[in-house]
Amino acid sequence: MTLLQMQKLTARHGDFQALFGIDAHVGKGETVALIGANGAGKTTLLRAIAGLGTREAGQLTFAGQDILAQDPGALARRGIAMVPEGRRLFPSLTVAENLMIGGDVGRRGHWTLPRVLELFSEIAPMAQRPAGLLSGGQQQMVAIGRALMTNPELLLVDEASLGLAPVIVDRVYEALSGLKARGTTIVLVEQDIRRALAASDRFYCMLGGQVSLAGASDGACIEQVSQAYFGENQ
Amino acid sequence: MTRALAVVIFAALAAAPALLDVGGLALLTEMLVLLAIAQSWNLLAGYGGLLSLGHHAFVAAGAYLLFAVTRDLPVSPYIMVPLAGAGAALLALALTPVLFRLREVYFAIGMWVAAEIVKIAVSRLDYFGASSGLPLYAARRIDTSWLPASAHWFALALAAGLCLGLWRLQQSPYGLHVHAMRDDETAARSLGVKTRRIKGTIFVLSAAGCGMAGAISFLGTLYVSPVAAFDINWTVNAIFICVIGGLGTIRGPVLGALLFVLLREGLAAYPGWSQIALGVIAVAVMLMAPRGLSGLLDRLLPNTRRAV
Amino acid sequence: MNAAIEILMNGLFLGGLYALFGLGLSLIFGVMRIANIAHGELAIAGALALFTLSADWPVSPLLLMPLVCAGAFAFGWLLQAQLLNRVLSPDPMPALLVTFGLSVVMQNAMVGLYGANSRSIDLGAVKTANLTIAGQTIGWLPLGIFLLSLALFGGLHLVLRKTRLGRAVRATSDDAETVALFAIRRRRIFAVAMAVSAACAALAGMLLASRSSITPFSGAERLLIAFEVIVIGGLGSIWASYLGGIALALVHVAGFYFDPASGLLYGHLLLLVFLLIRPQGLAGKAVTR
Repeated sequence: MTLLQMQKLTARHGDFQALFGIDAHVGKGETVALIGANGAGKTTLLRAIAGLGTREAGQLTFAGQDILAQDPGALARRGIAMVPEGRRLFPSLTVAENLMIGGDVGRRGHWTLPRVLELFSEIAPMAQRPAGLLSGGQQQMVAIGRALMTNPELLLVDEASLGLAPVIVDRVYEALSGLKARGTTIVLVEQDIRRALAASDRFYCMLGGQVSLAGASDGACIEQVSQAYFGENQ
Repeated sequence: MTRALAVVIFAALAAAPALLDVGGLALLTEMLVLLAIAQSWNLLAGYGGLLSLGHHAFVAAGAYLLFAVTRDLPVSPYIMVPLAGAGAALLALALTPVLFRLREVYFAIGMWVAAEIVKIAVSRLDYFGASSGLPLYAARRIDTSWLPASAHWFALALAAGLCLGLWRLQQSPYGLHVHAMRDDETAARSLGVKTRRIKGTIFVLSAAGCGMAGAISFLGTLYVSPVAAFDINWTVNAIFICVIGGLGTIRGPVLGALLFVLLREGLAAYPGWSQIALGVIAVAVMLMAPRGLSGLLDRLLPNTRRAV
Repeated sequence: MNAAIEILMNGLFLGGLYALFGLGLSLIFGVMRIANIAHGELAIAGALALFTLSADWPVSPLLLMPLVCAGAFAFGWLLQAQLLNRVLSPDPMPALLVTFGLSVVMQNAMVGLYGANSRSIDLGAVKTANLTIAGQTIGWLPLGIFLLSLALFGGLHLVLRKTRLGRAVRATSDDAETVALFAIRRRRIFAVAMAVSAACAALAGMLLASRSSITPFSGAERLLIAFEVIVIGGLGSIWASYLGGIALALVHVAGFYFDPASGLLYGHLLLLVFLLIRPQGLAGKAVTR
């Protein structure tokens, strides 16, 4: 069953058009990776799905309903959660309070404060500390946990590995695969192509605001992907 | 075309002492003084991006310098006008180490507090006549019948000079730096624009303009007191004139000053109401037409050059 | 010796009131990064509204204060929702200029409506009642104002720390863009902050007019006091404002004792000293850079 559907979606990033007619879909329970070079439009697409930035035209449906004109708050209540690029925690709030902000969205479900702290046991001892004092890896876990606290149907993860040590990245992706096993649908943006393909069922490679290649992650030909990644001339 | 118009207006204004009666000339002079202060404030806010709520300190500094120095030294008050500007510039320079640690809101109110400190200091110093102020002792040395006309010419020269200076700034490479800084300070700095120095320079020049305007204004009244010189309305009016006319443009404050004087004279019978009207108009401009009268003029006459 | 105790005591009590002036300003600056230049005028308007109400209703002004605060709350909400939310941008200048225009309009309107005279709210017996502790005579009114401000700070502290709304306010203060992902509407939070700020200002204005007196021109010096309170205290927690209020009041009281003609001079100088040597204030984060 298709959870998220995009047809000829266009969007702007500030004054610039950044997406030129995206056709893509995400099935329920799938993990889909968005890959592409810097400036290809991955983050803009992810933000457009979450309701951030200006979506202009085309179709964007979530669980069969048009969400093109909805704001991020309404989408959060419908079950779309985002782990933004750079984590964007609330630094002066404690870790527990950051997580509770996710809970305040008001969607009841599996994820509660104790369960999130159990999933990321590393951050449990720091629950009462200001989130701004945590390390990058710990902050990433809080950011994912904060999104989980909204009990999302669709989890959008932007550059989860950025600036983190490989060991920590392993830990983050392990957690994401655990979420997949629970049936959470995930769309992730990732710079590291191999990591992205390993973690996902399918991928969309973006170039210049368009989808340049799509396919199953398993057995994707790296050569083909890299051509789609860098463009024809490479 | 614009240039020819400017020359005609300038010539007409220069001939005003021969054409107008005493009251009309005083009003015109006052308008030019207000325009000069507004353009100085505009230089700092519209070009430098720094909002000051304490520019009345520089107006007062210029005025007091003129009165104190001409009392003690045999200097012509006329020569003191540019020197008063230099004195106000020095005051601004002395304030930069503290004020330039502040940004945005904090600079705005910090500047106000600085003005308060200077005001209290001046009104307690006997050298400046304490709270009762100083008369223009040097008036004995000059032919006072020429005073209204010369004050008018000074005001005209200052206001026109500031407009011309802003125009030259816009045309110059330095003006590009200023513009880049106003748009995005971080980006400008990364491109090698010395933003701190530019802001400092703009701040000092802006103070100099106010200082001269203050000297000219109080030259005409022959008396200076802390209450009149440090009146925050100097700053308030400059802000209204710039905001209503159009911040960061040259003709904006000119239009604003005209409207200001018209409104005030029109509502002279209802004290307080002109300030209320100006405040309401300024708020409405910020909400609905942030580019002010100048922006409206652009929409009506799309052919005129935008820069002026 | 007695003089020292008197200065300390008066400074402490006055500091609570100063802190209340600073609280409203620090709240909106913390949440929105803008200042309300009309903050002082709001305070004076609160006091003048109380004059009008107590002239019509024969009850103690103390009972009418909550009513005026409610009115100020509504006014602050409308101000933010109808005016300031329209000029939100990373550049604080438009919002600053709008509140500046408002302050001039309010001041002139108040002069027009109430005249330029100095006024004081008459609280009757409360004003003169006092008690003696350890040989010191303490007025009930200054003490009561001090305790009230302490209670208000405590209450606001609890709301900010323990409630969902408080959490949303603090999150918005940290990152007004990201809160949108969690169904927090920043414009609404801004309106709440401005409303609370206006109510605090009105209350502070009414208490000031009960303790001493005000004129329609008093707004400017109240804004400067509020500003100095938050710079001297530092941002970051509301208790920083409390500390700043007490520090500023101590300096004012001592200045007035030793040099009665000084006015607010020593407070202004204290601000300069802080900007030069301790820009982060007594407690908390730097507000300057």
